[in-house]
Amino acid sequence: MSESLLPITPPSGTKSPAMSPLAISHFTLSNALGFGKAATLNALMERRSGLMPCDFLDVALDTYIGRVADLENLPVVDRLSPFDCRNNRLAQAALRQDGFEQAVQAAKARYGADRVAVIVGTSTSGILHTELAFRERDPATGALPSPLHYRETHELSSAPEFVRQYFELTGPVLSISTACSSSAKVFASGWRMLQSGLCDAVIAGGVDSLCLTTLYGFSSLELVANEPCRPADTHRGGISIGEAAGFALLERRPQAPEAALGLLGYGESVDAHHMSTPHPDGLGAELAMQRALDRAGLAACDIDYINLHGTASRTNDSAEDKAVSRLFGTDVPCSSTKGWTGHTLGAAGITEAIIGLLCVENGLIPGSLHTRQVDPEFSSHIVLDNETRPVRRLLSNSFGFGGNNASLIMGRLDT
Amino acid sequence: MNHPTDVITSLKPVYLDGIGVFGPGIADWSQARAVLNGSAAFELDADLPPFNVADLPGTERRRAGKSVKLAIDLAAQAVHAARIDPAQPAAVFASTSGDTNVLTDICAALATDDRLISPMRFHNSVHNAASGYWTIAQSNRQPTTAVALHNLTASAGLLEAAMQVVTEQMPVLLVIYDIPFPPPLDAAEPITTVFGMSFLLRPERTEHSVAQLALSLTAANASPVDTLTNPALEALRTGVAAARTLPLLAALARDRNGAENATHTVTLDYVAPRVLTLDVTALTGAADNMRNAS
Repeated sequence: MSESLLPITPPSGTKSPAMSPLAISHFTLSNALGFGKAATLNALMERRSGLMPCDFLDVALDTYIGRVADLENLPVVDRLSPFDCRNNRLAQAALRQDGFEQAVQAAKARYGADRVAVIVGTSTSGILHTELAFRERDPATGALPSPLHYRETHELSSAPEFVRQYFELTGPVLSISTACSSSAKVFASGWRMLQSGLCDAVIAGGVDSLCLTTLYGFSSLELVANEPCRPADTHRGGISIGEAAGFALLERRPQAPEAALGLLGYGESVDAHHMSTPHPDGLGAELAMQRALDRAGLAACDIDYINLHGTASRTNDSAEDKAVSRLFGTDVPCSSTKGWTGHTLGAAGITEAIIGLLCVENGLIPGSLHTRQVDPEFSSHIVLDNETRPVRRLLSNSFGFGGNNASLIMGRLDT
Repeated sequence: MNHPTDVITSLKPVYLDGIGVFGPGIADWSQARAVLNGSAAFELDADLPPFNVADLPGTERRRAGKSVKLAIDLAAQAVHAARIDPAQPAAVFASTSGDTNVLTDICAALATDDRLISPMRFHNSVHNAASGYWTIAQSNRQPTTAVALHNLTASAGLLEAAMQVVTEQMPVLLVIYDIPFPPPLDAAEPITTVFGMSFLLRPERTEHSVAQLALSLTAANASPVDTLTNPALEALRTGVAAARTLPLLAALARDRNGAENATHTVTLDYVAPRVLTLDVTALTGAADNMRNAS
């Protein structure tokens, strides 16, 4: 039996108990800005967006998307060919950047294959594979092409199972699918798994790829902009959909203490308000942020930067602004990076958590791209131009359908 | 890496205060108990009881699909049996494919020329639809998650819920539920029938506690996965991911007639070569809980 290494602080009242931070010993991301951390960091610094007019398959929608180039030419490894689909191609491409693969192999050697867990968030998994199969139905019987490989491509744990088999691991596996908060919540479940002693390292990640369901679905809700999205802008007209994958290696203690980054806190909540519209005053969002602060044992003034959920939908940005202003006042710099990547849905949590870590490493606050005039109704401090200044700790928000909210606090570990 | 014992990891025990079950000919835990004890017959093709969605407001009741209604029925059974304020517990909703009807409808619509899907169908397609409806109905703002792990979804849900109870020291509602795919996806992903179960778990024993559950990850070669002797129940167990918990429910049904502190060990499948073992200890709150539930 493995002992739980960290103390559990009992709760006081309704306040979330303070937690021991987790080390994030390695991380990587891939999205419309390119493969790997440098591609995203360079685009952030150069204020170069990854959004382009929609050219995905035969989709005829007047919108911009954040599509990852070349996935068509990057099949998954032969031994896992039943898993081959756009979503797992994106996962594999991301795993292969920034030495992440080597970091996982080192963790596997350090702890054992059964002590490394895989937790991946996704909203739609590989649904595109099934969508396209429906175009190939037998005209006489209605049957789909066979074998469909549903479990390997589309079932919600397709991606974490792919990652597990890619690295030949035997530790705990989980898929989290809470719409656009999915891959923020992997950090909370990862913390719980490490705290419980069920494993010694967690590959926490998120993957969501372009598909017809989300493109036509968000269009049906009239939530899609016909221009690159403009978070917090007076004239914001909706979201731009993107695709992305990102992974972080979580451990109890850092491997390189001198440059250690980590998860300092997380907060989860739901709105209990509406399936597809946030609470207008952001009550659930505020609760998630407050719980994250409580868990980190920090006050609002300890946060140097807030990476907003900032989808550029009318209702999300307004509700989030109210919640942020109530908790953080009007001074903490806030921005959304969805003008660069688009809204990567189930991968937004991990994408923006890792962008936050890049901001800490590089002392960067990225000003909201495409935001020309901040909505005069807003009172939070929305940054429009890039600023170079130390970022020690940041908060990152991810909110989804079903009113599902997650806030993360990441930053430098005091060692 | 070699471990000295067969038990890889054990979690601190959690307490089970409320149970819900739904399936063919089974509307609640008391009916499930009778079936699992052998005092009532079970047929895989028995009619499904009507869903009890009294906890859903009228507008949500009209919007909710079949899998959401199943999950709401189960969630309500467990919290009401546990006599807990439904706004209190966090929740883990576990299902391999969620609303299979909505997914099929969407994929079919997207293969037509106009590709029109309704906004409601789209928001019902998210895996956390059930948790959304449940928390709206109960004004519950606690952490809520939705998870999946194909045929291992039930064990994954049990682990996630138990870890949350132990590390966050709060009550957690666990709902595990599956409905079959309609054609043509049923051929690619067969799910035999509708089945679900729910637990209300707590970090401390209460007067309503039915059992103590101690979860461990164990080497599969030391502890084979439990099966059921009744062929129809065994077909249910292997045919629906959510029904992989049946050996656990059977142990709880047995404990109802057992003495205080009698412990059964139940083994459920998990990521090979590991299994999930649960030491199930009966508690005297059981009788009281049963009366409340029925």
